[in-house]
Amino acid sequence: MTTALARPVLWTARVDESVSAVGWSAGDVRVAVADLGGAVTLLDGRDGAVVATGPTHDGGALALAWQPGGEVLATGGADGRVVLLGPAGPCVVEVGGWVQAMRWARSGRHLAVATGRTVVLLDPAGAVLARWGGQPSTVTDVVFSRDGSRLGVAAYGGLRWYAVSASGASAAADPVRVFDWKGSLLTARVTPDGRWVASGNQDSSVHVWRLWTGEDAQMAGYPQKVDVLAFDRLSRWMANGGSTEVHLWDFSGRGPVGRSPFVLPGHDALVSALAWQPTGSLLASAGRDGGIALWQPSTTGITGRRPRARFTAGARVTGLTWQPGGGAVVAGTVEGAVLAVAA
Amino acid sequence: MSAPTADKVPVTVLTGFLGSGKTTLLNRILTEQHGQRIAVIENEFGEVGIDDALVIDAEEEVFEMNNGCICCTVRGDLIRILGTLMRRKDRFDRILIETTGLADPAPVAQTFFMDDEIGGQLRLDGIVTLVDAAHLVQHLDDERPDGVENEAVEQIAFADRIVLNKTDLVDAGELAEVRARISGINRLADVLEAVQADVDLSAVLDVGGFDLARALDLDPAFLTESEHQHDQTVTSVGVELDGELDIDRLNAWLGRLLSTKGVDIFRSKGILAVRGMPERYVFQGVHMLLDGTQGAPWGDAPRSNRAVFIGRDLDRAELTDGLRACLAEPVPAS
Repeated sequence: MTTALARPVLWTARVDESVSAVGWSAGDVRVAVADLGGAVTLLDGRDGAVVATGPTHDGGALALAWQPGGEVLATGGADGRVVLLGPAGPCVVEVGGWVQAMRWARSGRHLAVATGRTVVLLDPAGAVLARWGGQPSTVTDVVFSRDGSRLGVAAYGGLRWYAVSASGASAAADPVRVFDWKGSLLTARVTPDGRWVASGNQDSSVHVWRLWTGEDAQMAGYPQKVDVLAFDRLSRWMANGGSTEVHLWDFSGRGPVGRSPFVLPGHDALVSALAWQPTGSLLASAGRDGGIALWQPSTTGITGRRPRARFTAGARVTGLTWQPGGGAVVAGTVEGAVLAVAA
Repeated sequence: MSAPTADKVPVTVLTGFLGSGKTTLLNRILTEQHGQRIAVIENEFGEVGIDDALVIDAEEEVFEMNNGCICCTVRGDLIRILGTLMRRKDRFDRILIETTGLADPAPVAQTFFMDDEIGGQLRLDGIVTLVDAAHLVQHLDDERPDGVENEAVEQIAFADRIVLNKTDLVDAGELAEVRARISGINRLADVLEAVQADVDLSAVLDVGGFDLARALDLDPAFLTESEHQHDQTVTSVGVELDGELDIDRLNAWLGRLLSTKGVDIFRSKGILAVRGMPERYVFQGVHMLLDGTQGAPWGDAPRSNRAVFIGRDLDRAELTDGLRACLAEPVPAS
């Protein structure tokens, strides 16, 4: 590690088990940390002090998501439960099996929960608005279209899109659209401008679709499965893992097809987490060895292909989350360490 | 990052038909191996009830990795469950995966080859198949439509150890018939007779079935036996050959063999003498996936080649000739 580039560590904290997810509240200073021991811990983002302990999920807390523009924290675990922790207190929803992924619509009115072969749509108070069972395979991720009117369900075999009405109540049982692709999707993201959806896949590839035409393309040949990818706030760049280098694809104009990615060698182990600064252009990447790098791509690409900062979290990083103001990034590791670093 | 083999957590796959005694064996392992932290991945929740074991329900979700290649099917649920288990600080000493009697063992084994995160931290120790002595023959003889493998045959073929359970329910003649049927399919696996799954646990745990460092322990008679007619289409073929192999010829032959016959070859293992390589070349495979490494040095031992293939419609002559064609050119005596 290049110590000359080291960034000040703002604070460190520790939870009892391996961190499965971290999330910084959009509305205030709290950082939620879910761990595989089943605990959810709420830290003060200013100093890392424990503010409160959240719900527990027997067998492990696996996912969490803060409501955009609101105060509700959704957590899910191996106990088959989703807990919505709002100002009014916690609300528990039994959804069935392991909660693999959760995603809020941008409006904050709907929460999609992936559990086994089922997707459940909840409102912030915990009411079940819709339930799409019988997916072809275990759902690994859920994404919303920009306006929240479509819910994309990622599983083996592609993405299935379901209509979500504003109330959520009149959801049709059948998908309105299917992006078939014979591969196992592990993670999916939609660009903030709603034009593209991308998936990282078990077969060491990234698959991208234009949301409106369904036109697709594949970037294959990564050394390992691609289990992390992230779009920047301007929908210009997609960063993805699958190797020890961060790959940066240009989605401007006609998109990534026919372009070569920028390859950023900043890690000594496979990339395990990626997060873009919500306010600026910084990309935080982390590796299975605990290395964390900050990159600053410009509109023309990235110069020098060297990180602007590097530091280490000590062990495999499983979650990265930015302070909403963009001034700091928090990492959680398999050793239960949580640390905040200034951008 | 891949951990050294010794640091990897062993995983045992327990398979067998309903009523074969899997749950009994599972409960025995959990009770008698106390002191060990064991995680059990079950296909049906609630069968085992041991307080200090973590029991996880699995879905037996099989998918193809490479656009429809049947040989590259993996278990998606295992990738997720094992991946999460291995991230815990609270590590397990051992993981048991129970599969139903209807499951094809190949995707479970292939998961350890195909997913780096799993293969890097866990080692598949062995596939243990439990069979009911009183009902096995009937299961083996169940007719299946063309192209559909009989699951009982598959489970015997893939096994590293076979627990022949409920031997108290058959007489000596029936037992001999069952044993003959098993060895007709799989000549590599040890067969352990049991009543109420009362086998020595050390014989089903730490088997090293996929461990390249452990030598093949082959029955010499099996390798030299003359052509043997089986009534089943799934058989074991052993090939033994003196001399040294040419590495390029060997790679070309194995590659060709597994790409054309990989669907039919369930498992393969071998210890080979390669010209120019002081160590034994050890390989083992599941369908088309092959793992090879350098084993112990030959030293003064005579250099020879032994390989075993278990699969469907195997042609002994073709396999023997194929390996023989890989022999290196003789070197003129100096």
